[in-house]
Amino acid sequence: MNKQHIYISIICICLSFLPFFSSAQRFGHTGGQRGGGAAQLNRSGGGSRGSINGGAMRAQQRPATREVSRPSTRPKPDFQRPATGKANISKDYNTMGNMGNKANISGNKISGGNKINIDNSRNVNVNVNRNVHVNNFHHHHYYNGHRGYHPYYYHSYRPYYYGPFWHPFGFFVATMATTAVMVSIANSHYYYDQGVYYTQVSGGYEVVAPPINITVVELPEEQETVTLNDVTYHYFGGAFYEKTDDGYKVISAPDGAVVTHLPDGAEELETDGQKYMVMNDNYFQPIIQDGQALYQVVVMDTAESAE
Amino acid sequence: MHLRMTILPVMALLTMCWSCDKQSEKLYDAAAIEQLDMLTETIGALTSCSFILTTTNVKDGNAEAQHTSTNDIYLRGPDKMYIYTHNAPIRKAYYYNGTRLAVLRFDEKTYDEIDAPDNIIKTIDEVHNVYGVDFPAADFFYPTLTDDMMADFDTIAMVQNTIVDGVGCQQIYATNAEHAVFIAIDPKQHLPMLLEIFGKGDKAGEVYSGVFSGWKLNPKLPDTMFNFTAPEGTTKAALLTKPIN
Repeated sequence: MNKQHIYISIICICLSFLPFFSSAQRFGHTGGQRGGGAAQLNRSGGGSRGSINGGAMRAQQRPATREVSRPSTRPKPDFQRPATGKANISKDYNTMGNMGNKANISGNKISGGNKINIDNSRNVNVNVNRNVHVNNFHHHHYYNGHRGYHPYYYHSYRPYYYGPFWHPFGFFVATMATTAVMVSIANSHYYYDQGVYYTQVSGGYEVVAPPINITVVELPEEQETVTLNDVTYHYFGGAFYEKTDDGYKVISAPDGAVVTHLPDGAEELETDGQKYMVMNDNYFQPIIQDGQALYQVVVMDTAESAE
Repeated sequence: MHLRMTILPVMALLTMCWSCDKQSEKLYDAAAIEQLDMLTETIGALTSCSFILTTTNVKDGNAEAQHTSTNDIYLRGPDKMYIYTHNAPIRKAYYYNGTRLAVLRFDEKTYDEIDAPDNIIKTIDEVHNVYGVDFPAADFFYPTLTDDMMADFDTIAMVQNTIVDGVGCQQIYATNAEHAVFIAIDPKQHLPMLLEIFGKGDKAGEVYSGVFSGWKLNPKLPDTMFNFTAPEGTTKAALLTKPIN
């Protein structure tokens, strides 16, 4: 009996020094339980079986709250901030929200298709040892009243992620998405699903480059509109399209077109001391325009043909 | 012996009281709690959602060594989750379909897959607690967010509004001995736009920032996007059974 009392007392003392419940993620998620005892929780709001988290819950008894006059400025941190100003995080508070602006992915464009055999595992930065250089003749072109080419300005290649439906060339899937449609040209048949073209291979389907002159009925919402010499083009996933009565026809990359995104699968080529991105045999020159990292289509000649 | 029997339980009781008393000095702004409740209820009423979270981590005040990652997050209640994380040069994706949780590391061509509980919260909680895996922005998806924060922070108050991605946001400040947290909330949608966590004391110099964008509420998310089949050429590795950040 005495020993039991001692054990119980020791356990009580030890428990008092321990957190009562494990915490998860960055905040402690204890269901409002702290300092012992389980909180009584009520489900509130529109929670249901289909809710992401089962519906909001609120403790029946909470610590007292009070009306607090709001300070006119954000409290100065009584903690140490990062030493240098290089990190985005150390910018002025009010500008911090701009950090994530670049990503622009529509969550509604998820394919109804399969997620089988995902293999995006291609190296994103590969030096392609092609013997080419920029065709300088094209630098004299003028587009829409402006000098045709923007100056080369290297920025690192960060593949744009269009969403789970996007796959780079060579990607293999075992089954075709139900949303895919068959498109044909010159007796060659392809499956087209949200900007991605597949051809049937042994045991499944492989992503291929958009075949030139093939026409599709619609493009994903994420398409870019590119105006060049007063002509409007459509761009998606490294490919250019021309609007026709039947839909959108794949065309060769227009010389001088400027685009915002290059998807996964582009390769980096260094020639004449400058780096270009190569995708679907089109060459994209990194440029900066109004502070934004962009790519401009340039025409390359093989070294042999230029000489 | 009798004396020991009496003193030990009293000591235990006093120690517990002391622990409780440490937490008694708290300030909870009613307006801030209301904002958190509205956010919690908004998220609790969603049957599905997707958003982009751009996170930045700074360790030991070394901004040069900060890690930035972009996360595309898709949730469908109660038991579907897909997260694609691009943390250059690492790209990985989590697939949770209600019974299995898988992770695929694209560049290393490795994957791991484990049995998982039957809902999103249990899954992220279990994997976090057992294997130390952090899921981005998971804090906001706990149904008890407000009470969790009241249990965890000594002060929760409104501070001046801020602008995130052009959206005027209400801003909440929460602090305890270890952290100071700022949460910016879109007052129209009652959704988080920004989460900043600053380390204090021993954790000074640690900064975590998450910027939310591209919120899609109740989108149709097909089952297929949450299912995982190991890609050809990949090998199974212990990725979920140890921290993989």
